[in-house]
Amino acid sequence: MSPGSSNPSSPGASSASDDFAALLDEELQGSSQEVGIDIGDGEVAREEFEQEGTPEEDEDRDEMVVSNDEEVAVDQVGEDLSDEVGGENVGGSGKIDGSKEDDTGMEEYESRKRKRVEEDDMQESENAKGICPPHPGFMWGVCIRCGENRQTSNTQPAEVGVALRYIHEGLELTEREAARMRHDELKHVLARKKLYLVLDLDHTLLNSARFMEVPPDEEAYLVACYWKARSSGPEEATGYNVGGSAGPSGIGESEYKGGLNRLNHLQLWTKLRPFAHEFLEAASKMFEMYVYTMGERTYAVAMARLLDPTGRYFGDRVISQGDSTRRTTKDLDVVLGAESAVVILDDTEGVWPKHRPNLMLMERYHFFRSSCRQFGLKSLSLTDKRKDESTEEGTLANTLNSLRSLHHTVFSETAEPVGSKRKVEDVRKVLQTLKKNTLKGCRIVFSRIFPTAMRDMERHPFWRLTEELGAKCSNTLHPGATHIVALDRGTDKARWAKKHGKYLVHPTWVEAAQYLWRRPREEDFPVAENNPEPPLTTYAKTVEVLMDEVSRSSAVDTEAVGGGSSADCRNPSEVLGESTKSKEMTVFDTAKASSPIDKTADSVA
Amino acid sequence: MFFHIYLERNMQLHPRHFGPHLRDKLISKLIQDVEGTCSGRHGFVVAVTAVETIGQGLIRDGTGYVTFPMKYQCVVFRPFKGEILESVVTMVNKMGFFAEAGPVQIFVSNHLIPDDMVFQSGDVPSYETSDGSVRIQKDSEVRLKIVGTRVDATEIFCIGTIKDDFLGLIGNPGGGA
Repeated sequence: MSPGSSNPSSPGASSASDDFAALLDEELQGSSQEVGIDIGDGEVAREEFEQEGTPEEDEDRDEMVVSNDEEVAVDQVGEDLSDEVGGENVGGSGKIDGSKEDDTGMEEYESRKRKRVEEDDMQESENAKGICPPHPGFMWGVCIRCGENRQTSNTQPAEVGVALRYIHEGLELTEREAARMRHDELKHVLARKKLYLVLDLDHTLLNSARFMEVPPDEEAYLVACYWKARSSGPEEATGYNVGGSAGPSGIGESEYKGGLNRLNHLQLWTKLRPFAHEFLEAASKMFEMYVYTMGERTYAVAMARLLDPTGRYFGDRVISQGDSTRRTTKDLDVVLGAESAVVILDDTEGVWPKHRPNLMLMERYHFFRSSCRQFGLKSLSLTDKRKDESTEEGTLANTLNSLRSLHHTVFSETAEPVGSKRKVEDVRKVLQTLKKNTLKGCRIVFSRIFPTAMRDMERHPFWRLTEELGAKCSNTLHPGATHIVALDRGTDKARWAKKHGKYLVHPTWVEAAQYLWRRPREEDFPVAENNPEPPLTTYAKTVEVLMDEVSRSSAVDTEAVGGGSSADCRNPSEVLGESTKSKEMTVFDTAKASSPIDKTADSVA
Repeated sequence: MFFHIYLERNMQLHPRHFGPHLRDKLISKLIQDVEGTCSGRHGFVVAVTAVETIGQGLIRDGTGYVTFPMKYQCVVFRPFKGEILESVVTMVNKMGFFAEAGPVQIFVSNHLIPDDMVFQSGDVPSYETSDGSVRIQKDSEVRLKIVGTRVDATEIFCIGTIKDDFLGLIGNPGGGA
């Protein structure tokens, strides 16, 4: 096929290029036909060979069993869940209504799953042969398996695919192919003793504020911190603090250097949550990590680079808003990880409507004033308090511990004898179990938390949250009670608690338990006299970050869980302002729990 | 595949270039304009090898620019279905890998990678055989066969396979296969 031969003697002919094009087209037609046949034959032949069993097929067969079991396990877990719920129904009569929603959600999920499995079975025979159509996916509009163009592939209407733009522009996979990928991936990932971790950025790993949102006084503080950090070493100038270098002697100081970044090209201040680098380093050994943010692509990539300058934690697994299949919620359909092995860290429960069982809720990280304002919090931001979360005992450190125990639980099952069919626990089930351990053994009696007129308070999110955390709830006093949750010291139950030496705690104690994944210290959540305000603004431990050279030695001076928050506000009016508005904060922090509490406060009195 | 073909183009030249070096100027402008471009019809223009004829210039009304019809010979590169190419891997992920053969981007999906090669994530993501003897990573050289192309007016993309005899790794960044 030499174009030169098409017009050897007429170099000046005006139609030279046209001739050539015609020839190309002809050749193209011919070659494509030939190739088409060629490929077809090749595929069939190979398939026959595979059916006889290639060596590596045999090797994989064991693992295949694992992953098949995994599917089964998922189903089983579903059943287990409903079993459990059913069990509780027998125990607590009022629970039925409460769990109905869960049940329907689970059923829906189950049916979806089943449908998919059925579809898979149906298509398996064709699909396994590796013959298109159905096309498994498209790259640049060309089938990734047979090379056929999407437009020309006649027959069936093109299946709606999941666009995976974050992996590469133009890549699109069908639902089935994505499922197959997850399935295949799972066994490799599990073989390396890893799970998937989907991380949110804003308020989870970091906090950002636009330059224009930062008022001058706050900016002055930030600039001072920033330049101080930069001047103290070239390493920090890049905004990357080598994990683990922060010794206990200078937590506040050295952490600060790595944490605060000024991104001129995005017009952003970004503060990484303390411990972020260490967290990622440790988590990368247990998880394959994704970033999933509702922010824009440029923002997501810039943030991922801050957290992970070398790209070894996230690689190309950075999902931003444009990559999501829906605009307002997040979904695991773009994550190529089996749902049974994904843990999600996020600060907003609402954006994960379909994957609540996978979610570990994080306490929001509000470093900048604008961030507090955005969420309607009137309390002082961390910049105003000149504080920051503690490195060693902050939210991320707590979360890392929870993740460790989760990872351990999941894989300790694997270590058991090979005879057992089910090898790997479902993450969702383990999470549920871990959650149940948080307040295990606590028998909680609510006092004026719910309005007396409320009929099915077992359905109330706060009640359910408390039960999810493993506590036994009741609204009537009984001698076995260990904790009384009240907003007011003056109630009968509160007085009873005092008399019998039981714990009297504020409802935020339960919320704190949800974030801390352990039983919070009851002393930190007292119920004040006639003051239905939450005693804490942050559940995570915070430390002072002082700019002053002289007082730097005392920077390590950590405080008990947020205890001294009021001590920091030198201005008494600020204290007042904080306390009057802090109820609002609760509303946003735990939106599901608080609004009726407010109502209660009004109606019960 | 490379072709040596004749192409035509109307070149516009600013009047300031009119003078003794007009021809040279035209040719250098032509080279600047067409080399590296891609047309769906002919593929990528790799190099202009000779200028056949330069026609009579036509002065444009109003602007003073002059249009010269030019015929030139050039080498073009156009990938075809079924063609075997040698390429350099640019990116590896769990979906497959991307490679470049000169200006053409080629995607090889994991369907079209031999089944004994498994994706390994890590610092340097790669596809590896279980014994580790073959390892495809970024900057590896790979021989592949094109199974499909998408030809736009200005871009050409290909889907490739290495799941066939004599295809696959031919060299690693460190040297050696």
